[in-house]
Amino acid sequence: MKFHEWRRAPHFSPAGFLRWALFWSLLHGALALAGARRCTSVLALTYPEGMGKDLAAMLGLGYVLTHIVFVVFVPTLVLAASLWAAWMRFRRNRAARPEAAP
Amino acid sequence: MRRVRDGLLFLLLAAALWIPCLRFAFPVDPASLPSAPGVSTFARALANRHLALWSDPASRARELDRMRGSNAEWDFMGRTYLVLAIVNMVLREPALATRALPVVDTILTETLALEERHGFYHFSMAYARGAPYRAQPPRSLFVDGEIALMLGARLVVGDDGRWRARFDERVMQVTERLTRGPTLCAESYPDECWTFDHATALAALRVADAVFGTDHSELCTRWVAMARRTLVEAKTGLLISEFHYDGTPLDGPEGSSLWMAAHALALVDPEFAREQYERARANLRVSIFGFDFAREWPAECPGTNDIDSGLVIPLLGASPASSGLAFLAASTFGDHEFHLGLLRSLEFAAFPQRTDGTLSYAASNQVGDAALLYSAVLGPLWDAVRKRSWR
Repeated sequence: MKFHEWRRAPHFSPAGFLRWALFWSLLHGALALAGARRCTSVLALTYPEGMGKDLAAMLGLGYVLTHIVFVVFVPTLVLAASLWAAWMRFRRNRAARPEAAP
Repeated sequence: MRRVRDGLLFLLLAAALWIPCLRFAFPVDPASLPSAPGVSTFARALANRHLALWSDPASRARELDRMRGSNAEWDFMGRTYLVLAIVNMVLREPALATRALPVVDTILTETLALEERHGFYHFSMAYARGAPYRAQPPRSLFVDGEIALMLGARLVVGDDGRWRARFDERVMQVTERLTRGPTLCAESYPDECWTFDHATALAALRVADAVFGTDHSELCTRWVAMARRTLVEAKTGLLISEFHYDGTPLDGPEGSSLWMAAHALALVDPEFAREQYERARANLRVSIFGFDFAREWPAECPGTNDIDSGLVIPLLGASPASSGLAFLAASTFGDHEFHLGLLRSLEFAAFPQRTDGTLSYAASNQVGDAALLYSAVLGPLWDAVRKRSWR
């Protein structure tokens, strides 16, 4: 599958699932690079130094949310995409198989 | 439409395969449990962070200021848990005394100096000054009880002559306040008494009996009888968290109070403490595919979240404070299944930070990490006190 086909694939398709998995992984990675991990102390109502409380809460809770998605849903999406693609290939191969001679 | 249906089916299938396996992505080491002898690698790494913090005044001030910005009590409780943890570590591994006991002495010296300079209000929330205390002159059982417990714990591992008189004086103050109150209770805030603080104060009296050979058993027995009679919530059988000076309930049972109360009462009345633990476990523990956490309020008695609860996660109802203190209770009562589940959740959702042999959790703070350290080493101090005193 070419990149532009993958990019335009429907949300509910193996490629669409992989696209969502990539999106959430990149978002989580970006938040980690932005230093949002240290802001998760907002869960204990303790705020990092040198940062406004609102920004810290937004980054911290955003990090927690994307972490849960990254750990729970991203592997689920990848696994679902793999299983679905394998199932589609299996059905295609079966349909393409010539009819057995009588 | 068929595509959406197929997609949902494969998502469900994938979730059914992946989610039960998630626990294996966050392995926990049973050697981290305090039932193992000595000091585990896990506890050592947590302790290294605290010992480094208390050896560096600038880092310590920064860390404590962050907590005090939300709640001055946490600064104080972080000290208590760290002192208790260090004493237990020294009892487990006496060679640690040379490095660790000076930190205990520093904490005690600084804490007493701060209290002397600013009054107990330094370690209380602002509303402590908002109204007059019913018992005059004002004192806080929260501060007196924990200072007494810290001093007593220090004396269990050695007496260099500095702390004995201070401990004796504090024990007398606690006893006087408890016996003066109309229901064997003392205030921590104006007309506000906390079960957490009473359990801690009674544990300190028990430590005093071990250190001085005194006997506070009658007071302890009377307090437990009073608590069974007036401080137990009817539906759950759990101790309520706060009440007025005359014993009128202010709030229902609350995880962030109950777990610690059960831990401290294990030294005072083991049977009552275990009963409270079992009830709290039944009402507050949540376990999902090997990941455990604790709610702040039992389903039957919902309450309003406050600064003590931490930021409660919506839908799940997971309370960071209740879950953190559940470590203490699970550890005290040797509940390995719950303890390991809590540790797994910690690895999953508290974001461990390991650097240069130290361990801390990004989603926690100093008091949370100190309580966690204490839960990883507790046992020997309570055992030593039990051996030396009345029961």
